[in-house]
Amino acid sequence: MLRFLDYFVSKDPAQKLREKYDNFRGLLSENNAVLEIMADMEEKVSIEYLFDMAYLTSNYSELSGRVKIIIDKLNALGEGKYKELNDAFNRIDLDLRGVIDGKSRIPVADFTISFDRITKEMTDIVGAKNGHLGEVRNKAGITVPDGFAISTHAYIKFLEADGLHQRITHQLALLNPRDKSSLRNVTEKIRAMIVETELPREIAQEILGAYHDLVRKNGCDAVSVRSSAVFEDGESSFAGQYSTVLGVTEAHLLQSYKEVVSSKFTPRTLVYSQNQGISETETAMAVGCLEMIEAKTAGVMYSQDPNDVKNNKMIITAVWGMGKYAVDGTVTPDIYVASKPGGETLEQKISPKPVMLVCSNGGVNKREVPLGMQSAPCLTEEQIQCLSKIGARIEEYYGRPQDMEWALDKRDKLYVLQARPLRVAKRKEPRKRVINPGHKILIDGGTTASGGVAFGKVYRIATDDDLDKVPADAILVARTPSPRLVAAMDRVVGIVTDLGSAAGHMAVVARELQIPTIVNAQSATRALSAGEEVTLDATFVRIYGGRVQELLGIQEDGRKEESLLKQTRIFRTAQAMLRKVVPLHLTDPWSKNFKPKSCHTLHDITRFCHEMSMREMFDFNNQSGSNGGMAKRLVSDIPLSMYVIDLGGGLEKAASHQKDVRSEDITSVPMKALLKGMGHERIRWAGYVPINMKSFISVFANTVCDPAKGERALGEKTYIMLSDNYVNFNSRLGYHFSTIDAYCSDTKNDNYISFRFKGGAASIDKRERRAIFIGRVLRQLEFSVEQKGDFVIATLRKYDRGLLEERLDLLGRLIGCIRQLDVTMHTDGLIDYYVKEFMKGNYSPGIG
Amino acid sequence: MAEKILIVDDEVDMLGLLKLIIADKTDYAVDTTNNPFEVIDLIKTGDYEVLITDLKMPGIHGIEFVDQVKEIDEYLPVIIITAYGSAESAEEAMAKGAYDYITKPFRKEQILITIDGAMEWRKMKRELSFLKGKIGH
Repeated sequence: MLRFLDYFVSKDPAQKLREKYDNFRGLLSENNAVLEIMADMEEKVSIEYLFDMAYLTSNYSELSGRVKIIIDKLNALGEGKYKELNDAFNRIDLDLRGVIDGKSRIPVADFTISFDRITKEMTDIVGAKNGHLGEVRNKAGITVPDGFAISTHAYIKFLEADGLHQRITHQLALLNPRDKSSLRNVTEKIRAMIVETELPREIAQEILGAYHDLVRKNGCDAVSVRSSAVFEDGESSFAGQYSTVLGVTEAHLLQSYKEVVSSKFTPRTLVYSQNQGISETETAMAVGCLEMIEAKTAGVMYSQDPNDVKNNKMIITAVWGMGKYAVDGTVTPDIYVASKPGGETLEQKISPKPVMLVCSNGGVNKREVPLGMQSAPCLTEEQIQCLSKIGARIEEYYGRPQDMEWALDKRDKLYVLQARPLRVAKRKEPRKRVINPGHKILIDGGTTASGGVAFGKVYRIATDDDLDKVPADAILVARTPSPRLVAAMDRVVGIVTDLGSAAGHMAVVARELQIPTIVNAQSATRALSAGEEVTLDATFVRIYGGRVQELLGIQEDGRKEESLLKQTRIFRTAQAMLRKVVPLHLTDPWSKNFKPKSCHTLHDITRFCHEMSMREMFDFNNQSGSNGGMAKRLVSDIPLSMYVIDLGGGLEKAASHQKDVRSEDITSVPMKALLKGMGHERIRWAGYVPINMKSFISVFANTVCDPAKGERALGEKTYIMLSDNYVNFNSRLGYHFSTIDAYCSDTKNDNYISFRFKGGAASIDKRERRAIFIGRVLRQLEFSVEQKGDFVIATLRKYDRGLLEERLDLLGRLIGCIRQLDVTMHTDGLIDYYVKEFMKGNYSPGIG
Repeated sequence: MAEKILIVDDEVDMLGLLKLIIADKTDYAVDTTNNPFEVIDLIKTGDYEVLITDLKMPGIHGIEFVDQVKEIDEYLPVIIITAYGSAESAEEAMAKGAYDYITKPFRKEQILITIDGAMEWRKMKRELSFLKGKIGH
């Protein structure tokens, strides 16, 4: 593959440029290897594979080693001016080692951080809930209440005060998790210790300072103080398990902070952590302080029906006043089912809502809802549409269904208060309803909170004390779906409640733990007798007397397996590792944030290095500099900003002194063939791409915080190095990245084409479809292809010159064709259609 | 009665997952242990059709099982599960008579296919032995 280099070396005496090129080639090669490892990890760290720690540690070592080489090579290219990258690398590497060693590192940070600075990458500093809310606000442009986070660093420092951490550890060591009274005694003691310990002065001052700033800026007179643990709202939601204190004024702010922190230690949170396999140290507690929204109406929105992923419907629940009563089961909320993406109301179920929670005098109060409003819908058609659009936008931004809390204030301004991944039922064909299994139907109706079938004896809960006595394998029956029921979820096989909605906190946890659950069954506490054996069909909301083997025999499989896999420490370690490796934040090379300090992942570092290596190699700012002014603009009909360096024999001699060269000046055999394909008359570079609204939102969301992206369109530079028989073509077109490396001579055995492609602006499913399309076309062109996610590697070797030129011509056409194809890839069915069209000679199949 | 499989792995997570996958997708009965030192006793009494073992466990190497198992039940197929990057040791186990090996990471279906193959192999070997016995008489 490097034969051309010998040629270049022997022809060009410029030692400096030769060394530069050597480093540049090495950097590209390492970059490709890193992308390959990332793609492999993205594929393997899924529920389809079983992997071990050796796989993770081995990949970590390889990635880490290669990224270090990339940094060194860039510094060699740039004569040491990128030393700052070592700091970014060391920071990420330290985090990665912490993840692998199972010792999550809590980063040193300010005690408070304003929400206008928060993004999801800061989860380990501000907790998951704050991280997502900041991301939704600052990246997706959604309105959220103003406020600040109290960091995990503040939590650690608080725990260090007065030996608090040692005292907690000592108490936890005394704990017998199976003994309910021990659980209660120990957790009560720990909570009291936390609340009674004085906050270190520097933390207290900073919290109060941030509060004063917020009051000055927004004129609010109270905040809500909400938990935001590191693991909260991730794979394990901890829904409703930690405290939120509403209507907190300055006088109670510090005490409320301690109260929220202390909610880490309740019997139900400890049981929940234990069920989810999460250690105490993984739940470092950050806290969010958000301005209070005087909600006229509020509730929860699921951007997808969690029990039926194929129906393309959104579920919105709403109560009068603040949303707390919708999620804690106090009030059965209105339920609205809306179409996606239009937001048209398909169904609505209005419930009586006798009470509401409202802001008053800086605090919150329970009020009776005026009689005329109790059975009136909380939302208008227009408000449902508006909510649906916001829900679709957040889902599109995250690329997965979302569970959101929202509030509408008195001026009809909509706020999103929380966004977290929605746990949905496994994608599968729904089973058919068993019409008559020959058993008495005890309950027929209600709402599915978590699908599935369970058999057991009824255990009725009247008070919290009953929770301690729940026997194993019971069907729990309660009046309201309180999050307190979580304390018994390690023992029950099914849950039924008279009241509540599928969007409440208890329902979220039931789905996580895969416990078949019916809510809003109205009369369960009356119709089901204690100790009675019943079969609960939560999917079709029916409860039968006795054991219905026919139903138990058709249990939906695969769900437990997935749940168990996700709870394993190794899976969580792998996911935490991926978060430090794969996400790409440095997407715009012209942004002021395109700098080493903004690198949060190894991918960011390699992206930065790749871009800078191009600039160093082509040296645009110094045309008379170290590359000797050799980078020339290639002027052609193709609307790409292309620059070439001739390594020898790639351009007409007469062109060697020109600043700009034209297509006719190219003598490089492979480049000529590639240009011929890219210039094919049937490629419509300037065509209109028919993007549907969802895709538009995705691209818009990527662009809105970064206007330069929208403008540059095809304007990013494409870098080409060529000689008479060689071309290295590096292009970032729109949001994707492709490289072609080819050698094309009369010696058949030396000839090759290597093609790599990754990325895009659309969501991952559409990008993956484009990658599959590319792979299928290239296979038909006899390339050997490897495709993982949105990454494609294709090679063709040892073809004679004529055939290789033909393939390069077709590859050029393919590059033109795939330009923005991802945003039109709405369904899997389009892939084969586009392949056929391409092979028939239609190179603009998605363009109108 | 369902055919029985024994799985041994010191990692409890992996043991639970393997059991769940096999029990969920097949009709085989699955026993597990995270104590490699009780494997031989279990095999002596358990009437197992297949043994699935991790290659490296504290204090014992999966390869050791291959010899010991063959002494108890000549046709008991042993499937070795190896850590990422340790295929060489697995090949050594194969040379000693293990039925097959699977290197992590592997697709879940792969273990099911290997088990089916092992069951077939065992049946074939037993049948062959039976026929040989008959001819011998």
